[in-house]
Amino acid sequence: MFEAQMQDGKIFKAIIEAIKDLVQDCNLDCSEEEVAIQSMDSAHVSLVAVRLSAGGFSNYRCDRPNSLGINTANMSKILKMLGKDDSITFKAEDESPDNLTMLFEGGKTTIADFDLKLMDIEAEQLGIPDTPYQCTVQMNADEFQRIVRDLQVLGDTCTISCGKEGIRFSVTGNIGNGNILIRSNDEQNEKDRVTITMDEPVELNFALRYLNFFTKATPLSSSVIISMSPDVPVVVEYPIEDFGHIKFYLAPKIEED
Amino acid sequence: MGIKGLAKLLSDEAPDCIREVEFKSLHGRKIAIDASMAIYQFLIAVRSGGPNQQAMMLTNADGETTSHIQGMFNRTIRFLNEGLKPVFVFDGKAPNMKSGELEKRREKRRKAEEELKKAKEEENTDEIDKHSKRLARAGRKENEDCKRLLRLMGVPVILAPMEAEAEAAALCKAGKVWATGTEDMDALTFATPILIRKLTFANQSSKGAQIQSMNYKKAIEGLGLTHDQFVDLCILLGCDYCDNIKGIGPKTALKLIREHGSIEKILPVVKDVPKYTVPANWIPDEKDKDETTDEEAEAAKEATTPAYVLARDLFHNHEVDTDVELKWKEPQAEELTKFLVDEAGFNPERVKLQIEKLKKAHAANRKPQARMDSFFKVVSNPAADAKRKKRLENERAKKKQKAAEDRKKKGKSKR
Repeated sequence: MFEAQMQDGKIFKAIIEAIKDLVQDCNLDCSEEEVAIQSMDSAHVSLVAVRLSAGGFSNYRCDRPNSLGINTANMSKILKMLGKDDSITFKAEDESPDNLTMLFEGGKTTIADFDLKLMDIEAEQLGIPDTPYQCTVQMNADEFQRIVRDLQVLGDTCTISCGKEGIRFSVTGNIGNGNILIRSNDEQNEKDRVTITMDEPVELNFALRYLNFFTKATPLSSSVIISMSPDVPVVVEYPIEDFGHIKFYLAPKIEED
Repeated sequence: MGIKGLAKLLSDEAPDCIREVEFKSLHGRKIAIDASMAIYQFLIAVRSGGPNQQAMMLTNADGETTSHIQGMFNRTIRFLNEGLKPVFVFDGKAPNMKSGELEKRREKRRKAEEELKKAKEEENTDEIDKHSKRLARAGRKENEDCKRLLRLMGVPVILAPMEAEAEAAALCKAGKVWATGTEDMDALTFATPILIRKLTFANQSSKGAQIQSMNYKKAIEGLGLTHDQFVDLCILLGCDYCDNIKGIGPKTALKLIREHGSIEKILPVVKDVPKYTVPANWIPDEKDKDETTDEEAEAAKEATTPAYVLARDLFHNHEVDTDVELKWKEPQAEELTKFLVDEAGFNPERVKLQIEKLKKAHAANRKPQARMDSFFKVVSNPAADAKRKKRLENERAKKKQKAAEDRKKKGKSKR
């Protein structure tokens, strides 16, 4: 039996909204410690990894590890019916369940329950090693979203370079080119603070289309953490409260000799 | 063509080796494509004419067929646009052992020619269509046209010493390409690590027929065979290089190989069973052996070695050339336009648009998007794997049950 209640249902809704354009189908991997999602987009260029630790739920119970295959578009349809302050309770059987049951409860008067049909998903799981990154930048999530959106008018590939003075986003296209530099600072206001920790400067090229998909997670967190090392995928992480995160990995575009 | 019934046998006995994949997921992959197979498909598929009207091959002003050029040009551009890197492999000389198969194909063509004549006399459009499609043949000219086209497009062209499937499989084994793209199941017998089938855009909309990816390692693991045993199984199923034992179907062939391990050990078991007919050239005449001169030695060896051993040898030691450099170059726009517009008679506007697309794809490929799986290794997800296995088993059980029920029904209706 898997059963878990999330007091603030909005969070789960925001997670599904953040990933549904990138992945159609994915497994909710439930274990004693956490609920996790890991999935690549259909082109195998990017990867989404969500982790919600058991501590973030009330009444968490998971008797044995289980993979619940969901279609994100259908999940999103059901979550449209979630009230603003509703909690969500998830329930599923242990032995190859056909449905995931969700209870939406708001106040004392209304309880809604929904069954979402589950599916078998053959997904290739990737093992992501826990390696340190050369550059890590923490900045305002809205700001990052704006930059990615704005730069798309210039071209489709963005060079992100991280150095001592800050993090620079550059795009070169047919109509011209542009750079946006974000300097590190130690604003009192946490929202506007930009912290950069780095060993060596790093410069990589990425497809803006995918970065734009990632910023769909902006409602989940006030700040975003961007980690880069030479010749490996960038990580764009949005912390979820103090009990989880949603991380997006994007493979760089490589200069061919 | 290929190995008879292997695709079905694999989907029944080793379903884990077959995956349906989306076209998008192939981006960045280098794929060695069997050019003859592709040309042949275009000759059949690319035709003008609406329903109830006789479909005609596309031709230029001189009446030369251009269907294959049209097909090859457009599809290759779409491949490149999706980020796929195609390498086209052309057949070299046909192995001697294939002459029997080729003779059979010629016979079929002769028949189709006769039927076509008859159909034309009767003015039956459906029949004319059917038989003229059967007459389609990828000849020398068609091959040369495509080589020239591809070179102008900047796509690598490889000339195989012998069979294209064997060359493609060897390139794949050597790590020069990621997969072999052909419909021919032979490629698996040549042990290509990955075989891609149905690599077209035609069936993208209908969800039923997707691109199929077959994994060689999982295939032989699923069948529970070694590589040598798998090759013997393919010969028993029926390959292009020799006849097979009449009366042994795929299920029996698999059972026999699993039990006995090789054709040599199976032969004594099936030789005297009346319902099986072993081809004469599988059991060589020992008598002729003595009277051979040196020149005839080679020919004699061929005559005295059982046909299946020769076929097996072709699968194991095929002449291939993996010392090749694969480079995707800038397309030669001017030359290409000349070829397509002046010689093949294509619409200049359309050719121009397509060449623009080709250039764009080439530019995009200069700074290619890396794939996620080239950085992180695929690991297993035990919970999901267990579920998948269970589902496959359930499906198999259901299929068996259904087959049994069908048999029962048939039996009843007969009575």
